[in-house]
Amino acid sequence: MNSSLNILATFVLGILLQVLVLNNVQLFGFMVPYYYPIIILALPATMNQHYILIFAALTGFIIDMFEHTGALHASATLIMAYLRPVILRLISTQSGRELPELSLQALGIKNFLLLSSIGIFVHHFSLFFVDALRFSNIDITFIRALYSTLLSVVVVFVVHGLFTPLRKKI
Amino acid sequence: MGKLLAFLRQNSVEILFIALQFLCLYVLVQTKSFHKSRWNQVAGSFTNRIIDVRSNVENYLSLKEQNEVLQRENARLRSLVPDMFVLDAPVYFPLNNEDMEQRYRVFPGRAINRSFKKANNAILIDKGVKHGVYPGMAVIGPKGVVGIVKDVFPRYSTALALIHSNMRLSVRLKSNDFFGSLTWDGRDFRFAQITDLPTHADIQIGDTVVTDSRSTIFPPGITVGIVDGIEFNTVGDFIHAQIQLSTDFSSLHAVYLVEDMRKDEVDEIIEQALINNTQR
Repeated sequence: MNSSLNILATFVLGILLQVLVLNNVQLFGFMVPYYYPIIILALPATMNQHYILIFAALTGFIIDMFEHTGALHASATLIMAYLRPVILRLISTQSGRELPELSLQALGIKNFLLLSSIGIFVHHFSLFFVDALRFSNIDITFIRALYSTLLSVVVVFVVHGLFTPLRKKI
Repeated sequence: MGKLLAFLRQNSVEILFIALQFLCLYVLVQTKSFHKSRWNQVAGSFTNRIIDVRSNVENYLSLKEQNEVLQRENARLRSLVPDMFVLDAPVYFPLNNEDMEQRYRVFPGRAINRSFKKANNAILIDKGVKHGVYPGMAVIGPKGVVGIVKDVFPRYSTALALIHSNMRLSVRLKSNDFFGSLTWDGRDFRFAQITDLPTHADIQIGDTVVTDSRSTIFPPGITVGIVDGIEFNTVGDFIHAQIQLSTDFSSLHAVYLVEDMRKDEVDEIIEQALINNTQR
C-alpha cells in the first residue's frame, strides 16, 4: 500500500517537474533535460513487466499531450521500458530483485548511474531518432542524444540527491 | 490450439510491447500527416489550461523585460503602419489616402508554450476561433516572422514555427529583389536556410531578408533575418545562404496575428487557377 502510494507520488511530481519546469530549459540550443524516464526506470524490479510497459506508454503519453507530439514520447519510453530488464541484468546478478527499491540509496552511486544513463540514452536516442526521421542524419541525432543524456542524468542525480534522506546518504 | 496459447503466454511481454508500439506509431503518423488532427484537439483541451497557468506565472516574473520589448515594438510599428496597406490605384495618378485600402489587420496574442529543440517546432497561442483566428493565418513577433497558424481550438491555436521541417516561406533580399524559399534543416533553431537563390544574385553577409509579396500569407516586407553565411554550390547553380533568424524562438512571448482581409478573394483565385490547370 505504502509503496504504491509512493509510486503514484513520484509519478505525479515527476510529470509536473517535467512539463512545468524542465520543458522550458535548454542549453546551447540542443541539450534537453528529460527527467520523467527515471520514473519508469526506478519502478520496483519485482513489478510485472506487463504493467511496466503499460505504465511507460501512459507516462510518455501524458508528456505527449503537453508537448503536442502525438505519441512520440510514448513510443520512446516504451522502447526504454522494454529494454529495462536487460539493463537491470547488467547491474545486478539477480536483476535487482533482491532490492526493496531501485533508488539512489539502495543501488549506490555506480549502479544508479549505470541504470539511469543507459536507460535515458536509449530513451533519448529513440526519441530524437523518431522525431527527426526525415532528416536521415543519424550522426547529429546521436550527438544530440548523448549531450541531452548528460544533462538529464545530472538533473536526475540532483533531484534524487535532494530527496535522499541525509543520514542514509552514501 | 494449445500450442498457440502456450506461445502467446510465453511471449506475452513481447506481444504487448509490439501492440503498444504499433498504437504509438499509428497515433504519431496520424498527428503528423493530418492537417487538423482530431487527436491534437482532444489532447489540447486537457493540457492547454495547465500550460496557460504556468505561462501566467512566467509572464509575471518577466513583466519588466516584456514591457520594454513591447514599448520598443510599438514605437516601431507606428512608423510601419503604411506597410499594412496596399495601393489600389495605378501609380501614375497622384496619391492620396483614399487610394490606399487596408488589407492586413494585426491583433495581439501571447505565445503560452513554444518548442525550439525538436525537428518540428510549434507554438501555442492563447487566441482561438472565438477571437477570429483561422488556419493559415500569419504569426509575427516583435522582431520578425514567427510562423503560420495550423490547428485552431475555441480559445487557443497552434502555429508551425519557422523552425519546422515542413515550413517553406517565400522571402526576398531587402536591398534588391532577388527571391527564394526559406526552409529549415533541423540543426540549429537560430538559423534557417535559403537554398534556391540563383548564383548571380547580389547577396552579401549582413543583408536583411524580408517576406516576399509572392507569399499569400504574410504581408510583404516583414523582417525574417540576416544573412550569416553564403556558400556557392558549384553543381546546382544555386547559392546556399545561412540566415540568422531575427525571432528568438527560445524567448518568445508577445506575438501578433495578422488577418488577411482579402483571404477569400486570394483563395478563390488560386482555386480557379488550379481548376483551369486540371481542365487543360
